[in-house]
Amino acid sequence: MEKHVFRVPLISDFVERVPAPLSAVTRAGDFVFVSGLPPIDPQTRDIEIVDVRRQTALVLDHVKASLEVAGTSLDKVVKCTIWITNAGYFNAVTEVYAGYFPKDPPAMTFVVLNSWIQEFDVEVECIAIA
Amino acid sequence: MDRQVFHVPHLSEALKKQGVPLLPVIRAGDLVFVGGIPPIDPATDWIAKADVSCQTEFVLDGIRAALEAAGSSMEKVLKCTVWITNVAYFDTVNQVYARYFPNDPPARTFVTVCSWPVPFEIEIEAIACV
Repeated sequence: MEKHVFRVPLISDFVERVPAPLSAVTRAGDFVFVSGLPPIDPQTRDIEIVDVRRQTALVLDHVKASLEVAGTSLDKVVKCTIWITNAGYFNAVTEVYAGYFPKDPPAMTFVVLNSWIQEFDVEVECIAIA
Repeated sequence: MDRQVFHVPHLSEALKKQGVPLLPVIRAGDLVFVGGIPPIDPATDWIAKADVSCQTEFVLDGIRAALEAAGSSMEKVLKCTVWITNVAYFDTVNQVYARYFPNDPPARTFVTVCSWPVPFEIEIEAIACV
């Protein structure tokens, strides 16, 4: 099985500036793996302080872009993990998330972590088929 | 599709000593799953007493050994999850991690964890292809 890595505009630029040694998305055969990454503002190209609903939408926009570069789509996601800094954000995050997966949503784990190194509150990683 | 299990030098011995109900690596078809590997010192087959930089090396050495036992390699890793007790170690860990994945690094999620029941700071899990 051959491994493929992909550059995703905006996201990979941000990752390279950090710098963080990762690819935004990888693929082998019909499996696609999307990294958990922060909410990057497409205008400023950096992390901005915005509410958790806006952060969730940005993060899922990045997931969608990564999946499409790798040759698949949101409706082919089999598993997501949502990482959040505060369990109190559950309703806000899942409300936005549901909009990206309106039909037959993937398996999902929702967990709280201590902290990231920058000021943001949510990341989503996923596994998809192609 | 069958699951294949493998003996991994030092990791398998450490797990047996602890009596933890898990195997370090499982293969199914062309995918290899490495569970969260803590820093195991091969000199003692036990948790390493070392700084975060050395712990990261022990963890990645363990992952490499597990992958090679299963017929894969570091170059074939598709996705890692890095678990850390203190996000301030981000740069320290990245410096070591980047050496183990110098080209086309895997997708990755880097998240904090409260604690483990033994004193160490980092674990990494990996999914690879063959």
